[in-house]
Amino acid sequence: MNIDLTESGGGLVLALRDKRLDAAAAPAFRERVAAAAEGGHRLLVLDLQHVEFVDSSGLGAIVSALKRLGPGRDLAIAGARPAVRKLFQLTRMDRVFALHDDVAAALAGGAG
Amino acid sequence: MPRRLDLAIDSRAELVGLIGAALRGLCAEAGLSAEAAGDVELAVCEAVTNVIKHGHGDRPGHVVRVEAVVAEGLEVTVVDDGAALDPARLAAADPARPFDPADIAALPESGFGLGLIKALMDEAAYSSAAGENRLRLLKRRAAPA
Repeated sequence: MNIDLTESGGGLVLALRDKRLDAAAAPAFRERVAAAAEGGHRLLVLDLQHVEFVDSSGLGAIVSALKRLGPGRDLAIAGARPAVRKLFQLTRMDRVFALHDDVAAALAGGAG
Repeated sequence: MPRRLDLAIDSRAELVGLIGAALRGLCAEAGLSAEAAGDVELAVCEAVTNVIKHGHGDRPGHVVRVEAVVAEGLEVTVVDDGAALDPARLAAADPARPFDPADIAALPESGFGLGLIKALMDEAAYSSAAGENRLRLLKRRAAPA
């Protein structure tokens, strides 16, 4: 699981470099995000622009990451492709996560 | 002569992406739109992952087959010899699981797969006989506008 971490004024951006966030990738993703969350940033932005495929295991790992952050901290999604957006919509997780067009919008809009 | 392609992987999660990649090509061959192809890839990968996780308890060494037929769209049948699914669970499945979006700690992290399969495909039918389970999925080609 390749993830680039970038500090930005408004939070910590996690850019996934792999094309799939699925059942095979989810355990490593969970570990990497849990480690990144220890930095204490109030806002984490998950940049999914390079990710072509997310399945329900990947979605579960994203939900798990949000839970780990705890109260007062948030996880926003940036750059989700249409198929990934559809997964959030069908599962109604678009009511939990703000889906921003890009990282800049996610940092500006916060948790939505 | 049916236009059919059979695929098979060992029961390992890291191989499911190969099925997805092959399906994208088949969806183009079947004349499905990009959105429909994404639907098929997600539904079939969910089904194959379910077989590996629940049918075989994440144990490698079992064959999971995917039979694809290009017809009025794409018909995909996932065939396995693992523990069978309770058909009532497929019948009751809904990808929109009930939850309170404000109650973060109680959000569901799993249980979406079967509901997604039903929501993404035009037809989903499960049968199990003589130790063989078959999940037949159909995505129809959209009628020309």
